[in-house]
Amino acid sequence: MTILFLFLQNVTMADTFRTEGKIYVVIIIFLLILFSLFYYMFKIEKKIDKIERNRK
Amino acid sequence: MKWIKIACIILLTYVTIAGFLFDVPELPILNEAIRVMFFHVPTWFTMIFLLFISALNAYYFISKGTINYDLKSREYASVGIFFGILGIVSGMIWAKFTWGTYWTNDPKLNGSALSLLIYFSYFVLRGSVRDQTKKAKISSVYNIFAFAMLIPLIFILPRMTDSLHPGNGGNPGFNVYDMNSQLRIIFYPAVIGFILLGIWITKLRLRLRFLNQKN
Repeated sequence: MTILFLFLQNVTMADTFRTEGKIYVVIIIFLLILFSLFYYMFKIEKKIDKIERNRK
Repeated sequence: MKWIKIACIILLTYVTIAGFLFDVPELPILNEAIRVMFFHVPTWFTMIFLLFISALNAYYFISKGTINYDLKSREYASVGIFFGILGIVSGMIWAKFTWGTYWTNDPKLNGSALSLLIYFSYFVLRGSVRDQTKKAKISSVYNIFAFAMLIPLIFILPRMTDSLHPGNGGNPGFNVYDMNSQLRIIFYPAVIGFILLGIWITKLRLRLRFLNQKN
């Protein structure tokens, strides 16, 4: 009975985040990938900087 | 160099958010897939831009004879073709869901595939010559011809016949029917952002190339 009651009531979650066809989730994932990519490129750049300094 | 990275990050972040969220024209068949335009078309613009710089460096090499110009030409071409492949694959996926097939024998599609093949053979040509100066000379000449072929294949021939691809079949690329101001405020930053990303990647590759050169 208590279990049924739990299923019936409206549980409030962060619902606004999931409305509008969950497009915000897509944006967050895409931004995560984009920023990881930028981070990766900065890392590579640092490595090249280091090699260039060692060469001189 | 620093402003390239900052501008690239700001523009691409803006394009991601705006490209998914901002209002777009509601058109049948296309539906939300119209948003692909913010990502598919800039990859081609980036390719054209990088290949133009590549051809320019090939010309500099021929006129000045410094090997660095040839290395620049090569790296710009390879990053340019990378964006071209992204463009053709994203275009195929887009075509599947709007035209119903991955590939049609459309003049625009065949032209872009041909121009990619022409550039693939540029790299084959480079790989087949051992001597560095000889390689640089031959491939620079080839590069300029390849770019000269790109213009009619992508821009002129598809406009002379009818084409499924927007912006072809007699009308100029971006007329009032293809683009409205809603699209432009996302599309133009996207083009600049992706071009800057292309330049950024090329600069990294070039520095590695020059480091290898000094060995």
